[in-house]
Amino acid sequence: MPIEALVSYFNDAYLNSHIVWLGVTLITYALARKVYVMASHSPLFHPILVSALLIISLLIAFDVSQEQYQKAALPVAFLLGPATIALAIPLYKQLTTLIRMGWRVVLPVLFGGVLAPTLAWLSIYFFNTPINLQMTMLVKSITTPLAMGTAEAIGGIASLAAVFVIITGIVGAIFAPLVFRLSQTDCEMAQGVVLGTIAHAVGTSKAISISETCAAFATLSVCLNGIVTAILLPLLFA
Amino acid sequence: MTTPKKVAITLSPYIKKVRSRLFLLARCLLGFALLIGIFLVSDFITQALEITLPPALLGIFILLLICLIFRQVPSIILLAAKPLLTHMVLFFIPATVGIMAYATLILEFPLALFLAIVVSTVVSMFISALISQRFLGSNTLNRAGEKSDAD
Repeated sequence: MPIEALVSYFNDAYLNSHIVWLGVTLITYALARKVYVMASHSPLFHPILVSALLIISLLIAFDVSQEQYQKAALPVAFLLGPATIALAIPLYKQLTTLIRMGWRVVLPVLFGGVLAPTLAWLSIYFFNTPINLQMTMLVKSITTPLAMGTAEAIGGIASLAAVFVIITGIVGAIFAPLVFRLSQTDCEMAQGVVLGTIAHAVGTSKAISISETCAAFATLSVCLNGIVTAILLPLLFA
Repeated sequence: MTTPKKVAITLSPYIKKVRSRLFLLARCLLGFALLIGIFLVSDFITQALEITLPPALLGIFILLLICLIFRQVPSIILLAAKPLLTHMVLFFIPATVGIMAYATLILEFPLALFLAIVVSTVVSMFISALISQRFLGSNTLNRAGEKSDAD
């Protein structure tokens, strides 16, 4: 139970060093957000990349093991659960769009949601990769919080899932303008669906810069693809 | 006689402001507690019934159901959810740092991972763009067609 882990966290004898690393996490995050704004929201400077790199180098510099850090940062990791549940709110706000568009939006999302993990899995299947790596690859196009839970449910690795998902989102957001030009995708609704389905939340922030319609469809696609994938994969592989 | 009244009038907006701020904070904390409660309940249910779904997914459905029953997002939950959603990235920093433990696994398959994460993402984006354009791009054409029919 996460609540028991939380209680033992506060009883821990190493509370002091825990609080230091908790503080480091918060400060690094604040810094990474500043960098992201300064880089004018370029996906390459996504806050998660900057803060993770900073913390990893600090851990190496101070010779702190990754497990120790995980223990220290437990309260932050715990909040991921409630924050993921809050995803119901953007979904609820886009429900009218979903009902209005019906299968015209559901089918492309389902198609992209099946295609992306299948292609990703095929491209590592032939390299004799271990099964947990293959399972992790299946969740790479859904939103990080759901991807981590789903990866664990089907025998993948949650931390790897987080990293794969983030990099996928960054690649998607960077290549989106080129892909849209080559495929002559000029419909903003379609662009939103592609960004949301393939590049999840990182793609959605790209969609926000295109237009409001595009952002709405991206948000809807993120929620839809995330939920359908998180239901289907455990049914298929767990 | 009138001066003390004036003092009372100038003080009251300040008190009101502090009160409303405290009230807002209390409502925010209540919403926060509700979200954590939903998460713990869904975590308990998925473990007790041995469902293999990620627990937060069940939580999403519970919150969605609550929104549908109230026909709007309850303001308490909205208040607590906003900071959680904007700072979502913070909450998966610990997991991302956990990648350190898998450095050797990643370095073992650099080409495979590049193909899977970079190349396959761009390819599936291209194909799904073609499909989405067919489904949604034709929507405007349909509408135009309907219009011309109506005319």
